[in-house]
Amino acid sequence: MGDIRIEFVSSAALSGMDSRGKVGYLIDVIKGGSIIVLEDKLQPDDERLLIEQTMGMVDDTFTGIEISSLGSEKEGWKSAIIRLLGGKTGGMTVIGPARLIRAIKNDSTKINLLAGMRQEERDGK
Amino acid sequence: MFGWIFGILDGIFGRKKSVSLGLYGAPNAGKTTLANRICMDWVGEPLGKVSEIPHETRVVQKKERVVMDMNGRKLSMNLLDMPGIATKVDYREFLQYGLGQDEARTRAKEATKGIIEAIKWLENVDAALVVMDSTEDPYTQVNITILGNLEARNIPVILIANKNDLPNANLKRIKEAFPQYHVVPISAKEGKNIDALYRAIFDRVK
Repeated sequence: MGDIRIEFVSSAALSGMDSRGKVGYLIDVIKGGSIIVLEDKLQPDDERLLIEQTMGMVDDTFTGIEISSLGSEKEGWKSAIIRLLGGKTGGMTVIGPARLIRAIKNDSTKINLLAGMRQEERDGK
Repeated sequence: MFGWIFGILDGIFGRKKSVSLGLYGAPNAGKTTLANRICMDWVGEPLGKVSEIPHETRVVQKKERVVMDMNGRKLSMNLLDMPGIATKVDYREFLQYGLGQDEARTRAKEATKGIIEAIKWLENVDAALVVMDSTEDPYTQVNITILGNLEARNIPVILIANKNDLPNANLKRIKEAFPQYHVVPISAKEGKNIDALYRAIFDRVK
């Protein structure tokens, strides 16, 4: 049976990083085969950069990512100040390699994730 | 009569002569069908090829100076039909549509380049039509990311609830998922309610 590693990352781990730093960190974990549960909502620019960079890496074995997030879609001035002060604005982001995440679905209050390896991956092919 | 004077004033005050209107959305939402509908109505010729195989549009397709005319008001646009944005592209998916291995791999590679190109364009459009398939769950990360980026740049957005003529279309689901946006239900294929879209473009795209 293939194991699936899930990495829970606190918002503090990414605080102080710029967009490229955050995305680079996330890609390292995803390419390592783990699913990330991030204690924060990624900002639109981060999501955009993440998709852009991972699309540039797609090949036969890495087919991209699945991502889902909870939290306010709009970055208001209050949350901007909270972030500047190193605080948490609430929210959550789940990201993982597309080959591991069979289905991901969210609404405004919850994320539902089904993960599993394909048979050929479990067999090491 | 005063057109040339206004033209000079527009030039002096920097008002754009044509707005760049981008069509965004997930693959197979009906962006190219809508772009073709708009181009047929206002230019008399289609823009791109439509296919049931995802990622048919893999480069940004442009139609320059599409001039809409409504009750004497004119709006000149550069229409940009974007490749569908996705977070994953697996060449194996194309095999199910009868493509060979090489063709599927080439399509996948081109699709990823198209997605990157569409994402880069997010900061260069003046307004956007975000096209959603009314028969599918609209609350996807792709739609959230597209809207979030447009909103962060204060780019005017009209949500298009496409395929609204299909029996399993659910307009309410789109309105509930994105209550802050103006939603126009249409069928790009059948041309249903397309005039409401043109009115919305006139009202919201400056």
